[in-house]
Amino acid sequence: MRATRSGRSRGRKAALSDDEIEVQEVKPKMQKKRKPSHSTKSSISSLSMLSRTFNEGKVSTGANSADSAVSAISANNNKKNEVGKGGMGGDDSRQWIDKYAPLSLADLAIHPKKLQEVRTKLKEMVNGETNTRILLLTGPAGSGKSTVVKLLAQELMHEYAKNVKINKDFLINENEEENDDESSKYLVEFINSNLSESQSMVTQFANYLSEVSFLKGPNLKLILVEELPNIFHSETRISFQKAVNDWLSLPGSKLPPLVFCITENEFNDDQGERLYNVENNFIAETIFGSRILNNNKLARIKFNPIAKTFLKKQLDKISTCESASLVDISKSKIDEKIEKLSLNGDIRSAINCFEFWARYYKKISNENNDDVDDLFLTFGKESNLNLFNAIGKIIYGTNHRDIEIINYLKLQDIQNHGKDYSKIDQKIAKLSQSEIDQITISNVLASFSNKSVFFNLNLLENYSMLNSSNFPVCDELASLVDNLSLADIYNSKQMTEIGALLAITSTRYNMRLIKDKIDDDENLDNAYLKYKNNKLNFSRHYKFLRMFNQVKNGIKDYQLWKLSKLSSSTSSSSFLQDEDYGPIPTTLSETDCITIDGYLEPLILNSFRNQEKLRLKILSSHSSGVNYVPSAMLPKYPRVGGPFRSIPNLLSDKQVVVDDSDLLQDGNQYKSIEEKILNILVGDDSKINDEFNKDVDSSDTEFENDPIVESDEDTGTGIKKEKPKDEFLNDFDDSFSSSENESFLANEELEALLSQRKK
Amino acid sequence: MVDDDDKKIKAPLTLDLPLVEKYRPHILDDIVGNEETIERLKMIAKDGNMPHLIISGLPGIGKTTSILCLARELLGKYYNDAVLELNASDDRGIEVIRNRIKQFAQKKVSLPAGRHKIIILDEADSMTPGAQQALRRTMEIYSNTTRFAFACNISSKIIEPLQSRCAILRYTKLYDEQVLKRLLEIIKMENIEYTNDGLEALLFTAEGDMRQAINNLQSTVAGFKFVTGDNVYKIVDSPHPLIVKKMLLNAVDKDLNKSLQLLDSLWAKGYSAVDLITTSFKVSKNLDINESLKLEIIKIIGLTHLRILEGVGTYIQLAGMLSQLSCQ
Repeated sequence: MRATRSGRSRGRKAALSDDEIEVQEVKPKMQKKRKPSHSTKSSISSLSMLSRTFNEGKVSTGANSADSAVSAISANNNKKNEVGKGGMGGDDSRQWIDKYAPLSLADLAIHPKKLQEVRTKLKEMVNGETNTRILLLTGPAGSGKSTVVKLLAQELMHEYAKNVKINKDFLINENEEENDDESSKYLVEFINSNLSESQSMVTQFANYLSEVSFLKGPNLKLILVEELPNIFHSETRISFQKAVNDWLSLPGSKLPPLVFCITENEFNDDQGERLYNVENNFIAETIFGSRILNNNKLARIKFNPIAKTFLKKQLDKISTCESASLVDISKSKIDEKIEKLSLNGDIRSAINCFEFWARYYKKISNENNDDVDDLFLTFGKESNLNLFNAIGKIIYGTNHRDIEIINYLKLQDIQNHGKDYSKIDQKIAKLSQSEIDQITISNVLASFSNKSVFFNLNLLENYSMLNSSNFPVCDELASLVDNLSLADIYNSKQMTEIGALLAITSTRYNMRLIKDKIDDDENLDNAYLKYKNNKLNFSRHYKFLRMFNQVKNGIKDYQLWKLSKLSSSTSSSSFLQDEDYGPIPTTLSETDCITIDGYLEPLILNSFRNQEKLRLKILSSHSSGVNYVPSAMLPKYPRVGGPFRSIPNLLSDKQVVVDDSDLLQDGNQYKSIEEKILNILVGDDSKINDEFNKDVDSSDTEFENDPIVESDEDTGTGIKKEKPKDEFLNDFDDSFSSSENESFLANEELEALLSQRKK
Repeated sequence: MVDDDDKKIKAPLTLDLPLVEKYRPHILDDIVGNEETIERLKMIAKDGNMPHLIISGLPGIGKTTSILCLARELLGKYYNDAVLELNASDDRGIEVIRNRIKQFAQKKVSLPAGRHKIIILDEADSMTPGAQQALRRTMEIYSNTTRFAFACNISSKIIEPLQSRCAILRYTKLYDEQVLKRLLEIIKMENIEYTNDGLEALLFTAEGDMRQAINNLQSTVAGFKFVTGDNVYKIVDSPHPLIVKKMLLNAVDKDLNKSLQLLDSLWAKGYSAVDLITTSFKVSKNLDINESLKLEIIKIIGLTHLRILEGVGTYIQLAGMLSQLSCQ
C-alpha cells in the first residue's frame, strides 16, 4: 500500500509540474487582459493566499507566483497535494467562497454570543473539564457550523498542545484518507470511504468511532463528523445510533471531543404530505433519536441563519477586496444587490450568488433592461420573498404595470401569437384593470405552476389581509373561499393546472370587486394603500401536518415502549425498538393510548406532583423548625405526543422553515420519567433525587429562548422564534393546584408523613 | 406506422437519428431562448472557472443541452476525459455517489487553467435525498478540481445544502416565436412541406416544449408527409382546439343544440372524455370573455374533469357540462 502510494505521488508530481508550466503560459495573456490596477492586487492576493496555504494546510498547486511556497509545502506534505487536486487553474479558479473563507475567529459572521457558547463548550471538552462527550451543532445550510468548529479547533487544540508541551505542526485535515494520520494533527473528520470487502457499511461508523477513541492524551484530536453514514438505510441508522450511544456510555472519563455538524433541512414532496421521518425531515431528532439527544453527555447548540448585518458586512468586505473586478458595476447597483442578498441568511449561498452576479454582470447589462434582467435571473435559493411578492400581487394587484407587461410578452401564450403582441405595445396606458390583472395572473401562473398547492394554501392564509381585514363580508368573499376550496380538490386530483388557475383568477377577481366596494363605501376606513404594512403570513397547513405526524410518531413510540414494558422480558433491549422494528401489536389500541395513557395518566401523575409540591409548601410553612430537604420533586408528566400548544402560536407563522424542533418529544422520554416516578412512588428515592432535579432543569432550559435569535430580530431578519412551549403545562398545573387545594391532605396527615420520612 | 420508403423520398436524412437528436445544438450560440442566462453561460465558457450550477425549468427548454454545450465549449478536446454524465437512467444510489463520483473527482486530468472536471447530473430531482446528502461533502472537498452541474425540473427537490453551494439558474418557458424559428430552420433543412396552421397546431400542442414540438413534427412528417393543422392533431390524437372552442362558445351563447352537435361530431371521432376535457380547459384558459364568466366556465370544466377522473368518462358528463355552461 505504501509503495503504491508513493509511486502514485511521484507520477502526480510530474504531472503537477506540467500544470505549472501550462499555467505560466496562460498567465501573461490573462494579465494583459486585466486592468492595470489588478497587478498590485494580484500580488497582494497571492501573498494572502500564501499565508492561507500555510494556515490551512491547503495547498493550491500552481498558485500565481507562489511556486516556492508550493514546493516547500508539497515537500512537507505531498500526499495532501495529490488528493483530488488534479487539473488546477491559478489563483483565479478559486471560488470566492473559498477565497474569502474566514481565517480567524474574528472574521466569522456568526453572532459573538453564539461563538462564545461554542468556544466555552468546546474548550471544556478539549480540556476534559466536563462530562459532555458530544457536541452537536445543528442549523440551516450556510450558517457557519463547520467553519466555527474548524477555526476553534485550531485555536483550542493549539492551546492544548502547548499545555501538554507537545509541539506539532499546525494542520487541519480537510481531505479524506482518515487513516492517513500524517496529515491531521488537530482534527480528524469522518468520511465515508470506499469500503473494502471485509468491512460492512452498517458497522462502518462504529468501527470508525472505536478507532478514533484512542486519540486522547497527547494525541488528542478533535473528531468532526459532517458526513454521516447512510442513515437513510434503517439498519445503518440503528447501528449508527447505537455507536453514538455506546460512545456516550463508554466507561472511562476521557474521550476525544466528538463534534457533529448537522445541516438540518426538510425535504418537501409535492403532495404536501409531511411525513415525519429521516427522509423528509433531515433533522437531529430523526437522525439521532431522542434517547441520544436527551442524554446529558450531549450538548446541542443550535445555529440560526446568519443575521442580516453580519452577512452584509461580509459581502461589503468582499466587494472591497474584489473592487478590481467590480469596476464596471456602479456602486449603487452593488449596494442594492448586497442589500438584497443579505436577507438570505445563508452565507455560502449569498457569497456564491454575489460572485456569480458580479462576474457575469459587467459584460451584458449595458442595455438598460436591468430591471427585466433581474426579474428573469434569480440566482440563489428559492426564497419566500418571491412567493410573498406574488401573493401580494394577486391580493392587492400589481404596482408595476409595465414590468408585468414586459414579463407577459416574454411568456406569451400561443393563442395570442402575432395578434396581441403589437396591440399591447400600443395601449399599455389604456389597459383596463382587468386586463392588467389577467396579465399579472398569467405571470404568476407561469412562475408558480410547479407548486400550486403550496401557493393556494398561502392565498387562503392571506386573503383576509386586504385593507387590514377591514372589509364587508359579502358574496365575493364567499365565492373566493368557495373557489379556493374547489381548487384544493382539483389539486388533490392532480389537476393542478386548473386548480392554480381557478384559485389565482378567482382571488384576484374577487379581491378587485371587494376593493371597489371598500372604495365606494364611505363608512369603511379606506386603508387600502397602506397594505404594505400588513405582513403576509406563511401557511400553517404544513406545520399542522408535521405536528400531526410528530404526535402520531410519539404515540407509536409510546405504544411500543408500553407493550415491551408490559411483557417485561424485552425491556432491556428497548433501544432497538425502532419504528421499523415491526408492526405494532394490537393489544394496546391507539385510542387507549391517547385517552388513558395520553390524557388520564398524566392527569393523575401530575396530581401526585402537585400533592408533593403542596406538601412541601405546607411543610416548610408549618414546621419551620424542621429542616426538611425537598427531595422527591416529581417531574411534569407530559402528554403522549407532546403537549398541546396554545392556539395563538398556531395562528400564523412567518417563517418558511418552521423551527419547532425544540417541541419534539416522543415516547422515549417517558421511559426515564415514568421509571423515576414509579421508583418514587415505591419509595426508593434516595439515589434519584439529583438526577431528577437535573432532568427538570434541562427540560426547562430546553425551552428557553435563544438569545441570539432575539438579536436577529433586532436587525430585522424577521425570523420569529416561538415562545416557550410549556405554557399549556403551566396552566394545566395551575388549574390543578387551585382545584385541589381544598381537598388536600390535612396537616395532621402530613405531619405523620413527615415523621415517617424522618425515620 | 412509420413508412420507411416514403420517408426516404421526403427526407432522406431522417433515417439515422430522431430529429431531436439530429438538431440538438452543439454550441451555446445555437440554443434558443433564455438569452440572458445563455449569455452568462457563454461567458463562463470563455472565462472558465465554472461555478457549481443548478439549472431548473420545465421539460424541453434546453437545460441538458445547455449544460452539455457548456461542458463541450469549456473542455474542448478534454471532454471525454473530464466529463462524467449521469442521468436518471444510470444508477445513482448512494453507492454510486460514494464510489463512482468520488473516483472521478479524484482522477487526475491535466487541464488548462480555469478549467475543471465537470460532473453532470441530469434530472437531479429524481435523486433521493440520501444520495443528495452524500454529495454534499464531495462537492466541497473536490471543488478545486471538479465542478458539478445539475439539471432538474423543480429546484426545490434539490436539498438545501446543495442549493446553497450552487448558482441557480431558472429557465423560463420558451415563447412561441423561439420554437417557431427553430421549427422553420429544421423544416427548411429537412425539406418538409407545411402550412401555417400546421405550425400553429405544433406550437399549440407543444406548449413551449421544444422537444415535443420537434417530435410532433417528425411524427407528422412520418405519418402524413405534410404538416397541416389537421394532420398534427391527428398525430397527437387530440381534438382540434378550434372545434372545441366553437363548442364552448356556442354553449355559452345559449345555443346548446349547435354545441351538442359539435360534441357529437368529436365524440364520434373517438376522442376520449379526458382528451376532450383537457382540450376544453386549454381552450377556455384563453377565451376572450369577461372574467367572471371565465371563472364560472373554468369551475364547471374543473368539476367535470374531476368526475371524469373519478372514472365517469361518459358522454353524458360532457353534455352535462355544456348544458351547465349554457345556463350561465
